[in-house]
Amino acid sequence: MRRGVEVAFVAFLAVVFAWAAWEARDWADNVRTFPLAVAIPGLALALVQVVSSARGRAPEAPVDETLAPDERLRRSAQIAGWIGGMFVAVLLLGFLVAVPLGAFAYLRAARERWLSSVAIAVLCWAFVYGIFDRVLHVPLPPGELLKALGVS
Amino acid sequence: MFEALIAGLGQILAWPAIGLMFVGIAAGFVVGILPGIGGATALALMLPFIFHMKPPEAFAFLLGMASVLAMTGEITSILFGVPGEPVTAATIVDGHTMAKQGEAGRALGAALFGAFVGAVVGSLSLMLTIPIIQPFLRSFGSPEFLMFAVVGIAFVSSLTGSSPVKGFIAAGLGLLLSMIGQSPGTATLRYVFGQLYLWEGIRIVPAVLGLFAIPELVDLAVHRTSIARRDVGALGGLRQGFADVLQHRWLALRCSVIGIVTGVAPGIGGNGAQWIAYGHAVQSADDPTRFGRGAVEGVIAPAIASAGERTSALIPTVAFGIPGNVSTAVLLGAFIIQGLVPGKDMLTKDLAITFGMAWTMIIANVIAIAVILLLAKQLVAITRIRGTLLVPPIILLVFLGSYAERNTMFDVVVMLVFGALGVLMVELGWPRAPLILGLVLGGVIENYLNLSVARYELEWTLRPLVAAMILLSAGVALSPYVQAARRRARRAAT
Repeated sequence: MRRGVEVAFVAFLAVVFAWAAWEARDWADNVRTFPLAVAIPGLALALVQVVSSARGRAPEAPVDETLAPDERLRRSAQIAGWIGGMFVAVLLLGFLVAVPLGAFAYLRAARERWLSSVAIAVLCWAFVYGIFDRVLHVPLPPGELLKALGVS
Repeated sequence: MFEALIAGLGQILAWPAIGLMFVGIAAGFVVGILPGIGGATALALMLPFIFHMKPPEAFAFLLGMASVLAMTGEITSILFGVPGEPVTAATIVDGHTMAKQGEAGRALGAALFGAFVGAVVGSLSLMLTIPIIQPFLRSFGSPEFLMFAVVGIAFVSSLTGSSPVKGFIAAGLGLLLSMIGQSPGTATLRYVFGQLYLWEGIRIVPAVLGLFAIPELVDLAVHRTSIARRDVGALGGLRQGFADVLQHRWLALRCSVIGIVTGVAPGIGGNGAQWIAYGHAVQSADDPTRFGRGAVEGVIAPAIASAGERTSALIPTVAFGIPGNVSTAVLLGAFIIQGLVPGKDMLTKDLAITFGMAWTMIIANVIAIAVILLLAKQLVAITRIRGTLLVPPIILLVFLGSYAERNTMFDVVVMLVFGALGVLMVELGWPRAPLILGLVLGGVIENYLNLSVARYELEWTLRPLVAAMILLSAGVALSPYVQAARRRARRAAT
């Protein structure tokens, strides 16, 4: 399984290098020199690695004595979901709403106590509002959903 | 030179730089004592905060934090046998054993004072090296600087990770990603897929945050544990540990030299430095059998070497743009953000900033050791924080950090893409430092390449130093294979 993933990953990189060299073929000399100098050796090395990965030993999984592989995968998928969900939440609700909401939801889902969940959510909001909004004056996006609803 | 030395100190002691250094030190304490968040990740998380700072302020903040990160990492290594930082792992062997024997305070004192000595000697080496390097740098042209960058990539690619080929492919990918956007000088668009956003290229901050912070965030969320599984016990004996360092002053000096040499030689890093120093301490001891059973020299040696390595790694970074370790590779990103070009400028017109960096590391270490002496017990309490409680604040920093440079959600998307790439690379055992180095140095390399070709055509490759560095790069790239072949031959012979 791990070997298959690595072969696919390196093969993808080989395609990227090949495409980069192909794209550069019609550019002016001073524009294409560097891309070609990187893409052609990159393609050669990636092809060597594809063969080596396909023939050699599978890459070793990071040592983890504390978790079964299935549980590790399940928790990895969970946190990937939380990160993706946070991105969607920021897009729809903006940082000022999504950050405390996301923090609170994550902590409660992880069975943290109500008090610590609320406290950390409030601290996160205070950090965004205090440092980024008030001190650094970063223009935080209002959130598409809130904008559509006319709330912000 | 002397004026720049004083000006550097003045810049660091001026407001707000000194205040920002204290903020960096405070952040370094917290991050250093928490396991899992490595020095490179911590620096990456702090990059977004330096956009509004001037260079002396930015480096006071970042280096103040970096200076104390590993020093505080020694605390968890000794008390719980869990390295707060990967570069403090060797301290566990004897330090944690001492803690279990009721000598936690003595081990801590030896490690912290040792780290302080290593950092000060490393900083002084940075200051003293500048007058030696400066005349050489003045005689270098664009071909030499091009080759310094190439040598740096060759070192980092072949020496980090398990396979040099993987390292070079990662570096090639980084270089390729650095070409996205308008080509320098001509404004021809390359690899932009018709996206206006990509015209300005891929920014360093979202890439670094994704590549380093996301994999650690995933790891933290997956394991969900705090590290404080045991009682700390008494922390007396700190002063005895200080005295141990003074008593073993020659070992301390030799390990400082090991730290400096490994810091200047790119690619070895603090991980290598600590174990080389530990090995040296065992080898040079009267009774090597004491090691692993609580020998204080086994704590002093790695602590000094890894601190010396951290500070002296700035020498090749500042002088040649070649990072000595992964953290300085991230620090190169800070140079770019601040509009500073490593090399000649850092040793001439920006010399005060360079000296300011060395001063920062000395001052930060003095403050760190004082604070640790006062607050050792309270700092230990931080280790009881559960991993789940840290996940939301880190997600927040990663998202806001990516967004805040250009105020666009596209940068957050870039961070997520690099995050997925980072997780995949960690899972498959691919080194990430060459990729980020390629991304950071790509623009510089292309500039020097164009200048070299325009001025000397292909003859630039025949300049003596350039030719030597081409050979050096090739030697570095091939060395792992030569070593492997030798090992095979030796095994076949036996």
